[in-house]
Amino acid sequence: MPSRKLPNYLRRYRKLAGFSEAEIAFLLGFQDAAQVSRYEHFRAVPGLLTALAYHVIFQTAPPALFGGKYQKIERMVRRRARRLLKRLDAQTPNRRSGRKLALLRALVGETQEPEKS
Amino acid sequence: MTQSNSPERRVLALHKTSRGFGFVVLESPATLVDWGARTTRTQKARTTLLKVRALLEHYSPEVLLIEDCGASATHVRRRQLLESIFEFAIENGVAARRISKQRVRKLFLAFEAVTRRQIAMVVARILPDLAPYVPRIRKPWMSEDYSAAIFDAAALALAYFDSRRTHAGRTSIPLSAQMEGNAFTEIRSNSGN
Repeated sequence: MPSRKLPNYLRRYRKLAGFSEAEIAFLLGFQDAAQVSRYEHFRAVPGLLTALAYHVIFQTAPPALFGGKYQKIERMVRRRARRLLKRLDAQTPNRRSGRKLALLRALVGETQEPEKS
Repeated sequence: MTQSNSPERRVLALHKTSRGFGFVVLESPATLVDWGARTTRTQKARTTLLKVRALLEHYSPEVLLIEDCGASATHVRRRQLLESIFEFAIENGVAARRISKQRVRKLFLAFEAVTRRQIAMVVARILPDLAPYVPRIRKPWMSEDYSAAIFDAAALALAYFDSRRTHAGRTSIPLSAQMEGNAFTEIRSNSGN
């Protein structure tokens, strides 16, 4: 896939399913199709509840529906995870830190703990 | 970072018709993002450019594909409009490529597809999302199905991806062996290629 995905692929999935904008608007509980059109033209970002509704309608996971947005969030979270991992690695580990360190390492793509001097 | 020889690029392919143009947007040989036909009734050149611009702005493709009309003396206006589209894309920072009819024919000949309808059927097997839009069998008195231009555009795009893979030296066989789990390979093996 291209390194830069589109913010969302809602239009693609709507057309694949054969729905009109008005029909999707109805399923989402909107009064008219204007908001659906705004989503598809990347002029608005669906809220959590609407995103979940899209997932229900198209039976497609959010990363596929909102490819570009998901990529952006993933990059930001991974960046923060690296910073947090660096901070935690400098601290003395305790019983509870094992799981979160493992999760953070998985997030940033590290396969093993760094060697401690 | 997109590699220059990677086939995974977002491409916008256009096929000009007398009534407007058909288009497809692909993110790989097997991933259809959007498709459709746009009509232009008045001020065709200007309207076409405006609609192409809207697609370029919306999809930010890495490559715009159009048909290579050559230097034929016929269809001068069509050739001029396609050139305008080509230059428009370049001016707006989008790489543009012309795909010759020969290139398209060569690709689909491997699937024993010669006529436009046969090519459309093969395209529909490669891109099953387009299957519901396969043009009806056209009788002499019928006007062209608007969706025919979509398949012509899709054929351009597939020929482009195929030529990129061939030039990258990945394979001397067209897309068939590379497409993941789709009917392309099945068609090729059934046709004895």
